[in-house]
Amino acid sequence: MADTPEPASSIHPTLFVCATLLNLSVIKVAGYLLPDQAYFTFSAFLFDERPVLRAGALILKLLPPVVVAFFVTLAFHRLLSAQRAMGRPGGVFESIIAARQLSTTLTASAFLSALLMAWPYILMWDMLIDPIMASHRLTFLLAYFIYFAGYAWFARTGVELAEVVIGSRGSVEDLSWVTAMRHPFLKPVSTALSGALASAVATFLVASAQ
Amino acid sequence: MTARPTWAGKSAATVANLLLPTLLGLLIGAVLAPVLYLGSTDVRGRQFSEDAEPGYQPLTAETPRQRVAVLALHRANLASITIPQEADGLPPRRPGWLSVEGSQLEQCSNRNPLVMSIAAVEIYARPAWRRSLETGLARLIHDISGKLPDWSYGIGQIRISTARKAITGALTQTEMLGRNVSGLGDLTDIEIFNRLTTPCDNIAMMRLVLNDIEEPGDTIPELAEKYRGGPETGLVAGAFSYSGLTWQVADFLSQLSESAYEPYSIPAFDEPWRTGHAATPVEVRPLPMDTAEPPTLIGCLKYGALETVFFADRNDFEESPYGYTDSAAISAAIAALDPTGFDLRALAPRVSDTITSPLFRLADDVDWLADLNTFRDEYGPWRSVTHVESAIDEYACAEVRLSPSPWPFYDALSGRSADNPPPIPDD
Repeated sequence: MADTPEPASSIHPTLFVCATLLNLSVIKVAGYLLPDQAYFTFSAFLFDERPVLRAGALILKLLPPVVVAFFVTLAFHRLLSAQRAMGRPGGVFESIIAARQLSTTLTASAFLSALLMAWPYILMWDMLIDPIMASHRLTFLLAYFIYFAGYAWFARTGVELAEVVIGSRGSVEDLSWVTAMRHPFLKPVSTALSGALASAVATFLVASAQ
Repeated sequence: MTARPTWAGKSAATVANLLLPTLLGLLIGAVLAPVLYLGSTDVRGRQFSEDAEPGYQPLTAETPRQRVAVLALHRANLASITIPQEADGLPPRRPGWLSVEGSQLEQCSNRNPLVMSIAAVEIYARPAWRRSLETGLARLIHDISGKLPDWSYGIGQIRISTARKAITGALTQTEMLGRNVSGLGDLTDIEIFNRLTTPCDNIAMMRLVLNDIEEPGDTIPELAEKYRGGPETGLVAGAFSYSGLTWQVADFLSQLSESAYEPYSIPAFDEPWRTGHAATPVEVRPLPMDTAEPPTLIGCLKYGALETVFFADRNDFEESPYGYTDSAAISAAIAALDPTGFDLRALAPRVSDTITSPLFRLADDVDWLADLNTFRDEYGPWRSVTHVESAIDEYACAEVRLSPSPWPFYDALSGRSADNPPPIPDD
């Protein structure tokens, strides 16, 4: 029997706007709450003459999309369960999950959130950035977009992680060499690795341009 | 039934998945780069050269307007940016400045600072691709309808009607000088258009336009605003004004200069990026009473700009080196010597002797008009003007030297010649 193709995914507009606002809020709150040493920002490469490349801070920087996507996915599934328990099947939660819009929407919203945070530097580079960095403008633009993609992939990781947690219902198989290739955690781990690689490439680009 | 994926296929898929966000980001960035950086298409990427060290001036660009002014100069290739070394006694990560050679603007004969400032701002505000688009469209309209739209063209964004008015004005002012500028008054629209779309001719025309609109006491922002014409529209997302940015660029040009420069005046003869000639006021003595006839004030044009001015006895040109000077020195000299008692003799630009392009000749003519008219406006009338089509080297001139220990040009007038040259102090 031939595999049935998965339905094409799409972006849910309302969820996209809400998730973007949520992402931005979490990024800003994290920026206010975290101490300087733990807060990583690409802009620091433009303004800060001290060593700004700290692995720990970079990891913290990439956590918000994972956390937001994880809890939004979890919330959607819990709310859907609650809705079903109340005997009201259907509705927005079910349609979004059934149409596989959750992952695409949260991934895209994370991309947009990262883009919005850096947009002033992209648009008004001439005014904001020391002219000494003028020749690195293209490098920074490419690094920014690679970083946005990496950031989005971490949101996808969050969604996949939540789906594994929900799907396993507590009976997750032990992770070992034998189970590694078929373990349900393989998918979010591989997605996170892709995102980490993109973030590393972006960081390398801006750090070498500094 | 579907075929089982091979190990190689799985590995390739895994690597592709791993690289997907990196490649995706790279692709989006590469696609958006031309759109986001359309304004940067004039960047030429000239690198700092150790050989050009004498022109180096450290500046700071801390405000947004200063940063944009830096980039405007950079994109016009009037300055390059480099990182000064700490060993130079300068703080690190400050933009360094270097006037560069060989750029499109640098090769133009007219290098008046105000003209260059406006050109740099125009280049920043309206990138090359847009100017080309406008001229291409105008040419197409002309080919179809036979008429040229009266749009703004070229680096200086000058309308054909504005250029015609400026040329007519300059010719009218120059008629009394006895200078025959062949054909300039009879140019057709398409001929003016062709000149406007040639960078150096456009720059020369900018100067004529500025001369035409300038009124006594105009400041750089006021002149820039008049040049722009009409109500100002904001540059760079409306962040600051055209005139403000022009002033900032002019101010930076003055800081690049090692010569004296008044930011709010239009020093037609000053070339602030020239190096090695400090603008110490020249010492001027009264004319000797026994001079047979008034000495001649000679303006030497080089590359179209009145670069060297010196004094000599009309009938006794001695071999003598000549050097640079600026408007302050000329002003001081003329103030001490009766201006009505002098002739102004402008020699043909050297560039005309070597470059036969009619376009260069036009640029020279226009520069010549602008120089003469500005000179006359600033320093009053003179008795007569002779245009000598000859190389400068055929004439020996007494030099107005600018140095910490001034050598009075008067000495040269009163008999000192190249056989017995005065000591030239080290600059």
